[in-house]
Amino acid sequence: MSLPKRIIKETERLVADPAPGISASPHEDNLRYFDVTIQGPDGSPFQNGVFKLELFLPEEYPMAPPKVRFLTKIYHPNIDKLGRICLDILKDKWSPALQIRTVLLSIQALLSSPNPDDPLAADVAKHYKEDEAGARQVSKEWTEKYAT
Amino acid sequence: MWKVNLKELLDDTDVQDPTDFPPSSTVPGLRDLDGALRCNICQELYEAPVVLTCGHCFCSLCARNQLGEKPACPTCWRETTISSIRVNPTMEEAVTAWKDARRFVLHMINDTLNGQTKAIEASRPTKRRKPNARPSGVVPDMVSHQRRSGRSDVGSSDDDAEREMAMSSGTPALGSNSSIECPVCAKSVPMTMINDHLDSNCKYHSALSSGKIASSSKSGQKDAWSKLLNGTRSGKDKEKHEAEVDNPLPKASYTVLKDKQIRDLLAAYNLSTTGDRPQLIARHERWVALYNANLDRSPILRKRPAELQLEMRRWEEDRRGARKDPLKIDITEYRRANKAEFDKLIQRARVNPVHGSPKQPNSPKTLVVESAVGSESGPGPASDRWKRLKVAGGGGGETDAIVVDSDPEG
Repeated sequence: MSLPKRIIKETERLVADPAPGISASPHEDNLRYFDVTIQGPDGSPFQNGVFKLELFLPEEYPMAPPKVRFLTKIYHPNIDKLGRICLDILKDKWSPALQIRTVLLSIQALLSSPNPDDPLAADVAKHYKEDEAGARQVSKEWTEKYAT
Repeated sequence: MWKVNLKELLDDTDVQDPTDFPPSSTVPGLRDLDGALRCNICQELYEAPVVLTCGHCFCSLCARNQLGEKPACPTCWRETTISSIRVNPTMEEAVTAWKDARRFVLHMINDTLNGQTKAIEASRPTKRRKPNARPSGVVPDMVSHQRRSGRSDVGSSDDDAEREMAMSSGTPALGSNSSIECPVCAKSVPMTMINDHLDSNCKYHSALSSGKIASSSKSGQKDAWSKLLNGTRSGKDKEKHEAEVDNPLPKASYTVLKDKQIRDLLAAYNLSTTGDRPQLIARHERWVALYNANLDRSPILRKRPAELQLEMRRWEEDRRGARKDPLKIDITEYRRANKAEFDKLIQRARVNPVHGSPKQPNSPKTLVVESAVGSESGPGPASDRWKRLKVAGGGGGETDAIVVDSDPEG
């Protein structure tokens, strides 16, 4: 079973020219499986945090989206306890014109702008809607506790 | 499991990527240019570029595959269909030229950045170099010096054809060899390079369009070709090829077709007719996409049916490889690789009860079992197995099972 050229190219680019605040490196024994870290964006409650994620490219990639999951606990309305991410481009809005890089940049952007109107973690979303300052404070505490 | 050396894989020169060029802070524009000439789906330089109704450009095959799944542009989601695909010959021209120039430009950048001044390879038509070759970060003096030295070196050779050939190959040392016309792309290629050139899908070692070939070398070309091909390619073959490539294949409505009819469609193009209905349909769909995408190339770049059939075979192999459960393959290999170890363990397990049984008389459970086994008048191998289980065991489940087995005895 050979690795599609596109995946090799993307890997090369991720390693040679990483996006700011994002790193992704493939496992030596499975080049479809990546260890990812994303730095919390400045100005967000996740600032100074370094979040670990796992990313897997299914057999159908790039026709099917990569599977991405947070491994670090995070208090965010669009990310649930298991680390699953509610992001349209990882589901029905996936397009083969997107790449690992664009997906990770989108996740980084999601950290900057939580969207409690389309929640995955209902309790966190409720908290964000009713008391944003308090919720952001919890996010900050979780970041300090789990992501540093 | 299947393991690849990552470093080796990433260093593979066959995998080209915009990052082959330095970032725009060092060499402005080139990395972006290389990226702009690539399909967003496969990340390769455009093959048979086509535009959708929204104006976004993709390789024909990529667009056809994607629109078969979802009738919308992968970049902007504007709805569109396969039938509204339009070819983009201008882009194809740009990509063809860039494919030629790319290696050369890379060489030149490396030489310039390394401060090397020998660089005879830099004797390429200046037209192509002008817009690209003067990045702001590069000392202009060095560039011009390089160009001058390149020119004077090549200028020392009087023969025009020789100069062209030297330029096309990038290796001036070729000397007296003549250029020949590639039968696929019709470009002039040094004769010694023709096999490499063909193997690379006409990517390498070509620089000149057929129009530029010196007429004096024509007869030499024919000789060279007959030497290379031993007359295997007949004129009839060519005619057939040209007659076949005219019309795009229509989309088949598989719901109204019987298996046999689909097989006939495949057989008409010498394709495999094995497999179940979904496989037949997938194969035919792929063939239609491949065939029609080939027609979106300009005639001179089109592949021959035999090449397309080869691509189909590769595709089938990939699919077969992907469908197989990798674990199953691994287990068989694992068994074979570790057979000696397993045999040793089995041997030891068979011998152990003899040594083992006296060692564990203390456990009451074992005693019960042993007596049951001992009194068993049934088949020998079974009792052997129980003994072995008992020795290896200690787990409650096994003892239970053994007790159940001994029940009918008591």
